[in-house]
Amino acid sequence: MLEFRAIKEHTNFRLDASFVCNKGMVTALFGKSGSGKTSIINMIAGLQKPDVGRIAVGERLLFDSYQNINIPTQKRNAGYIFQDGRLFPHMSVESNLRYGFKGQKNEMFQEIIELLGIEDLLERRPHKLSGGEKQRVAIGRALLTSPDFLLMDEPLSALDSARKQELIPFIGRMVEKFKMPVVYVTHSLDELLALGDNAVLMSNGSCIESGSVEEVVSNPANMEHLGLTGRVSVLKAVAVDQHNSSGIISLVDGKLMIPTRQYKTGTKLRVTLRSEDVTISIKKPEGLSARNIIKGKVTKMEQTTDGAIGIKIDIGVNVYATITSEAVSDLHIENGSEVFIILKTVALSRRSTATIRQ
Amino acid sequence: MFGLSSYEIEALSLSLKISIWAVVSGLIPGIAIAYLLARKNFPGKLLIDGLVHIPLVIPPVVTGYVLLITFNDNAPAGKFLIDIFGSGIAFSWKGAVLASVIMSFPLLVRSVRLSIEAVDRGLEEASKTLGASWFRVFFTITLPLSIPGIITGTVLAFARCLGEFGATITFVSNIPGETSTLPLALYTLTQTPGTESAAFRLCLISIALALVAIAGSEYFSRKAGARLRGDNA
Repeated sequence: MLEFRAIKEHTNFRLDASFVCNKGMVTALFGKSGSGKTSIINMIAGLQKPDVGRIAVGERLLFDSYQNINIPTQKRNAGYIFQDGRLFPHMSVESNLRYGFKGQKNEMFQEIIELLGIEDLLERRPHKLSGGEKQRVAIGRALLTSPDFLLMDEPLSALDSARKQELIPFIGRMVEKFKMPVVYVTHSLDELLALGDNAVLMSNGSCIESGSVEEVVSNPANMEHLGLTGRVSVLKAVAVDQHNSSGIISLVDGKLMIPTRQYKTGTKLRVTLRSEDVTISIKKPEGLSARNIIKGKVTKMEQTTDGAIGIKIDIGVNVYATITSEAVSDLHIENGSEVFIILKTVALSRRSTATIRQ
Repeated sequence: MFGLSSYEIEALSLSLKISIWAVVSGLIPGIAIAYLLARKNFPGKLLIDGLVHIPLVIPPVVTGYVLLITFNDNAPAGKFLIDIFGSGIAFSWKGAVLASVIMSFPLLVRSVRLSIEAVDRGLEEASKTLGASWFRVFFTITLPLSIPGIITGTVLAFARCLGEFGATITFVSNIPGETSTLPLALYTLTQTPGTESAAFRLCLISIALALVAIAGSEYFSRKAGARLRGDNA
């Protein structure tokens, strides 16, 4: 577990943040540039020093202003993956990879370069690599130091979207395999949804909210900070076989079972539902082409900025719907009403899914 | 050799000997001071910066004179050297080396400092996060990436040493075979009637040496630069 708590005063900026990141979990620091995300991971790495605070990984104290502990960067055993890779230009890929290699065994070296698909790049110089290759080498270089934790500073932001899609599974596999706390800095909602377990929302140097990605992204109060134009519900989901489930979405243990051919059965997915795409009915509808009807209870209703009504429905997990105020009065929906929500299977699995790491 | 008289060969080899010694002995302190000036903040930084650069802006004769009053055999520093090494440095080729080091030092430090400043600190940080000590960061990242500037600085300093005149003649005088370097020998020839052709030859030698040094520096620093960027030059 990685614990972070620190305050640092700058002339026109104050950083005051704290969070916890568990082993094998990706904690995503999400916020606009200048919100203090990179400062935080630089403090964890020891490249910046907080005024006051405490940073610990497991039992090991890295920084404690009260006990006057400040372990130097080179002894923190961090795996830091920088935004720009920062490969050493005067060394070959292999020398870069071996720079901090602590394992004596060559099997580990082989395993990691195979995992990252960089076996064929070893002889090359960094400037002969593509952006995606550079980042894979940078990831390998950090992993080969056998770090206690990983810090990733927008590792995908310099890449085009095709390269991003290519790299996300690598990062996912790596996190799954090495089971350490990972702090992932990003300002991209896609990356947050694809890679994050927990999210810490940052603005102007402080944490506004932290929790699971589902909670943080689904909370309407965070819409502006997330750069969302409408309310969304983010739900955990699992891909299931289309035939066995007769094509119907069901909810098991708070996870949507989504029949799909796109992903292997059992793949963990994360579903983003736009609130406009959720239809509400007060009676169980019949004769609809949408076959996914889930019963729930209205737990909150509020006016949205454009005059519509935002409704929070508990179906076992929270789902948001946005409907017009006319519809609300016609249907006599109020807090506590029992309603049915209607989701179109097709719509769901086609456009709103993102694989999360498997 | 090339029709040179023994006097001219003596001046040439003495010049090379003194310049090489000066560059070799100035290199490590030069890199160290350049690193301090480029990367560290400490009280007195401005003073050190100023002291290093003074020889560039004051008349060389002043530098030579200061050296003379500091290191003559009767001055405390001069006596100290005699006690330790058995001989002083005033009026000897070793004194000429010291004068050359001091006169060429600002050029060396300046060039090395600029190239250290140009090294991406992000790479040094990355090296630290990979577990490298200060020592390892310096020798595997900072120093190799500063090589082009170190080459340029070394060659500039070498050329400056070859041309050194004022401080040398003031400090160690113009003694044939001991301190009469190329410029000093050339000066003597220009003061002696009937030696125009010898003077002309020394002139040509000086120009040729300088050209070779500058061209060599260009070549090696480009090659080093290309290597660092990873081009297979």
